[in-house]
Amino acid sequence: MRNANGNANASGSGDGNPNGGGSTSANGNANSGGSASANANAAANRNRNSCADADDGDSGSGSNANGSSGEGAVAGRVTTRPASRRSRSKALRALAPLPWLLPALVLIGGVGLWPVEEMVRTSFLRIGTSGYVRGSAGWSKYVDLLREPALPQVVLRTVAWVVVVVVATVVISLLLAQLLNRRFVGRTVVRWALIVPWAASVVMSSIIFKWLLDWSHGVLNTPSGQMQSNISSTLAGIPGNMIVGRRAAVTACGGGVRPSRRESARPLSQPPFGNGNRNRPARAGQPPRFGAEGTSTTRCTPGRAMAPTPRPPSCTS
Amino acid sequence: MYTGAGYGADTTTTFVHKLKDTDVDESAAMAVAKFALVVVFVLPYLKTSRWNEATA
Repeated sequence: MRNANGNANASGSGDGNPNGGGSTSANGNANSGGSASANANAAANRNRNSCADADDGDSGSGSNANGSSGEGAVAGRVTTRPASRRSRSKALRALAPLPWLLPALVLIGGVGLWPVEEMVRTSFLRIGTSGYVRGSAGWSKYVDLLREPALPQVVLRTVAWVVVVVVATVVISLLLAQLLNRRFVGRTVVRWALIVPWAASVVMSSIIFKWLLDWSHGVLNTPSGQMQSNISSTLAGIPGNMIVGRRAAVTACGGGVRPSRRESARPLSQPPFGNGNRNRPARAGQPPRFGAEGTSTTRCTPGRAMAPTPRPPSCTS
Repeated sequence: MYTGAGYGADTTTTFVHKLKDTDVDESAAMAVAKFALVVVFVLPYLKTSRWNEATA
């Protein structure tokens, strides 16, 4: 270490002092380790070296600027750090994961714990129909609840619902898993038919069923003639939606359209070939054209990457 | 009060919703009871499933 004057000094442990300084300097003499000088440079070195070994609990000899070790520690000096600093660094280490945990903690507190607290607090209040709090109600609301004649049936029904749903879900799921693990014709379609309701939002499904079962104008609750019309118009829109959805899926999973060799070989300075050749009649013996000449539509299978069209040797540069 | 046609299939969730229309405090009390019911089911499951033990 060097002091403010650039002189080499020998440093040693000095954790016993209030500043936590780690070295005492010997100005102008590189080999006089261990001798403490009382000038201003020594104070500067103490302050500077106190940061260097803040996390290091070990005391020992420091190295001077020339690389030679200087035994600066005074014999018999206490080398342990103060307890307050140790506890502070331990607390800082414990708080280190907090920035990563904070979003989850905020979410749990805001979505889970705070509503529960509000719910419990509300159950002990007397609230009017207009929302005004009229004071504490104590346990009276719980007493009123226990006096509800429908409560036993409601609780029994809930318990039965939980048991039946859990058991039925496990049994049916295991059977379906066994079935879908076997090879049979149309297995992919069946798998998709199971996956789509799972992937669809519950809210979206609920809104659709609410619309289907609406008492006044729902598709399933209207008079037969109108219902038939509604269903037919609904079914008529499905193929169009499927086509649009397929085009969107093909585009999303790899573009779906890749340039032909001729288009790939086209210099950037020339216009695309597609526009000028779109209306050109097909040659004899060739199928009619769909879309532009310079492009070709290809199938895109999910999970399979689309290989790029190889360029001619002349264009590899 | 909440018996008869239209109330024969209520569970605790729908019962809380119906109580809310007439008495918010009692509805909150029912929600607390429902929360306690969920805890009664979940805690033994977590105790027996050893969810926090690492699998080899």
